[in-house]
Amino acid sequence: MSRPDAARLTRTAYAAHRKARGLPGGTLRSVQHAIADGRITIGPDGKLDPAEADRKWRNNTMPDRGGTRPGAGRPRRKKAKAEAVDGREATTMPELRRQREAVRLRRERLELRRLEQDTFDRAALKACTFKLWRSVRDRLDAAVGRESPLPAARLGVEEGRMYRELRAFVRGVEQEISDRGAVKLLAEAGKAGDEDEEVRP
Amino acid sequence: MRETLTREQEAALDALKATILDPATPTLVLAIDVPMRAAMLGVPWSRLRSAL
Repeated sequence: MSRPDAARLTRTAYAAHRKARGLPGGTLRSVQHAIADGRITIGPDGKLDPAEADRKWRNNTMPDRGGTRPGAGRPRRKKAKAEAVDGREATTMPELRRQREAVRLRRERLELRRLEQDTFDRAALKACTFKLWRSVRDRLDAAVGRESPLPAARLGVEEGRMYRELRAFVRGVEQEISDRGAVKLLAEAGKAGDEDEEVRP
Repeated sequence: MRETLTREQEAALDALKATILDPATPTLVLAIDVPMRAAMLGVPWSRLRSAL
């Protein structure tokens, strides 16, 4: 009496069977590959029917290269990609990495823009400071020219003399401010301004 | 055309040049004091800029 299970072979035994018959794929690794590719199938007992396996191997394997024939074996696994699930994008690791990189780039761009706005050119600062103080000087000088006739008339002094006197006075004030310098003036304003409104950046 | 400076302006410009060329002059003085002094003493911007 023949036992049906007697003909069934383990993977190693099936590899030896193929080798003995001079068939390609006579190693355990080749058999494992063929099972993984779906070119041959193992039974529920984990063993192979050699006749059936040989037939499937022949049908599903490309004779020249040994790989799976087109359309044979297990269907190829689809490449993982983001697919919409319930209206939300399914996220894969590469996709998450790409999103994180995009956020990082956006944050860096914002940071750079903020830095550029906060930083200004030293040459521009010098020109701006000059312009500001020149406008102060021009206003003081203009005030002398505009206002000197009035006190001259009130005091009965010659207009030209009053102008020269006032101009000399204002020039003295301008010289004094200049001698003190903006940095010192600023420091003095800081000390004097303790009781006043606090001005901070 | 180069502007003609008065004696006071020339003296002021020379003093400013000395400050600018002094390596010990702090950056804040260079950026704020020097332009302010030049402006108040009537030194033209063109002359100051070339010195800066």
